[in-house]
Amino acid sequence: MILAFFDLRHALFRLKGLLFLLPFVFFWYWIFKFLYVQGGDLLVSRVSVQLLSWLYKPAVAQILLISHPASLSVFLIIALATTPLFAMLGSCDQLAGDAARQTFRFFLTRCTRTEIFLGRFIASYILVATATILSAIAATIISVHIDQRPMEVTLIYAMQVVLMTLMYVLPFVGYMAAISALMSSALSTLLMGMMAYLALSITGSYLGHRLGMDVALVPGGVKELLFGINPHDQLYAGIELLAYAAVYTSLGWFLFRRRNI
Amino acid sequence: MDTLIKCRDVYKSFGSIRALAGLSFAVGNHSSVGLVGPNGAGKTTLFSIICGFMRPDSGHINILGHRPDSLLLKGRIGILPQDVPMLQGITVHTQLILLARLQGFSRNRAGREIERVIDLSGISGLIHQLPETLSFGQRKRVILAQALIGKPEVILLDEPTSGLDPVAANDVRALIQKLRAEHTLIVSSHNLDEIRNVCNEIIIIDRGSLVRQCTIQELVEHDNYLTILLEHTPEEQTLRSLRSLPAVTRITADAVNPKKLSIQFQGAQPDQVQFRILELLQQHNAAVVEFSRGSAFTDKVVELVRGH
Repeated sequence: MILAFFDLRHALFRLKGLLFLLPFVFFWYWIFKFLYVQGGDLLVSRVSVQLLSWLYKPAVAQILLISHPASLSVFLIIALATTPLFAMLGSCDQLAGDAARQTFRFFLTRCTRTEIFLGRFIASYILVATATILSAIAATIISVHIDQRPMEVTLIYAMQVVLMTLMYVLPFVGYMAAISALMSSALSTLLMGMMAYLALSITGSYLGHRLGMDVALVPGGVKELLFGINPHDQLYAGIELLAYAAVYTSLGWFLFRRRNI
Repeated sequence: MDTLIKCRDVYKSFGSIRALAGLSFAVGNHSSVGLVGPNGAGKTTLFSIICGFMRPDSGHINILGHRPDSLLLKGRIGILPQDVPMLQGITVHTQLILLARLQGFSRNRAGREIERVIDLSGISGLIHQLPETLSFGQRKRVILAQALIGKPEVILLDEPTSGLDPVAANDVRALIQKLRAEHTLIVSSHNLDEIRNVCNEIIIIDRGSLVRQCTIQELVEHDNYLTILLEHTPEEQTLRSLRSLPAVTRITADAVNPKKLSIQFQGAQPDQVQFRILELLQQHNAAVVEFSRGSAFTDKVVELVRGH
């Protein structure tokens, strides 16, 4: 935990932290500005529900925009859609740079590889999670202003949204831990992470098509379950995300343990 | 003598390059050992394996009774790695505190321990600077300071004075001398005079295997050996005259510097033989620039490596 907190404290002043925080802040500032100015009635209109029905099942679109506070749902949809990118940006330099520069040599005579791996993993997760929570708080404030739902309903849904986004971030940080354990710089980790994600998505779709069943090699397919037509689906999605996180993180740990430093 | 480090049949390859090829040796408690060998002999790889930075392909390594990756070794080995950068954008003091905390020191005790190593290594003027603003020599001293945190039982020093100016190098040598009393040291260096001054034992490796392990004393033949540096390359006639002396058994001219002669002789009165040799050189007008009794340590090590 010492290493995790040290990393977090210095994330704001180092390139790897800024690489994530600056695009994240600008992106959400733009989205929130749009939601605040253009949101409200527009989000609950029939056109919006129809547009969302192209992406998800009509029942899901209905639940998201009509049953729940709409602007928080829009935040959830956009947050989950952009999580792969932002989680990759926020966690691309867990191990690669310091392992390649051999800076870990100063740590390794003092703590184990597992402690270093977990320290960096936890620091990256907390960084991305904290930014996500802060953006969710901003979305909740906007929702209170424009959705005209009872405060209690908005707050309960906001907590659900936060929980869902935090769960969804976890496997991506684990995925980047695995890629980072292989690569030699933050940039190469980021590029490899993106390319491998794309390749895994395409391979999953191709295999699913060939085998006539769902083959999900990346957690993207869990999104619709998370949006929650029923609690059972959400629970199933949560377990699936934890499984993805466990597989990716274990793979990263396995690779890092064997890496020459 | 308690064995602190024991390596047996250690192999390590990087692709087709074999860095260690069945290396075996043992280092005892409170030794100061010089690790010597040409570039690519496997010295840094050996240090990396001892510290758990990499795993051997095969073989056994035991340090303080444990495997290199054992949790029980943490904080008991200190290393001055070669040319390894510290974290950028974070002051030296903050990084040293972090390392002490990782080693198990509480916040307060970490502060006191850092003060101790700062005083010991003389880096008090550098601690509030960023590592990237330090010169190579300053950085090296900072990295040496981190190796001393927590008074580790074994300290590995990889080229501790390379790249340092003469004054800084002397300071580091003096510090190493001080450390000898309390720690087991393994010093890897190309500077054989440094090894001779600092260490009492030597391990010579070449192409990943052991050439020789012995005390420094064993390598230096004191009584029947002269090393002479002449002002000019000696003429053949001078060498013939020297060889004709009854006590002289062998004369070798240095391959790189032919003005340097190593003369081996026998006899019960070495002083007289020595006097006779110098007299003969004077007769041939061969001016002596340097003269030392005993074989040059460097020559002996080079000879061993070449003969491997």
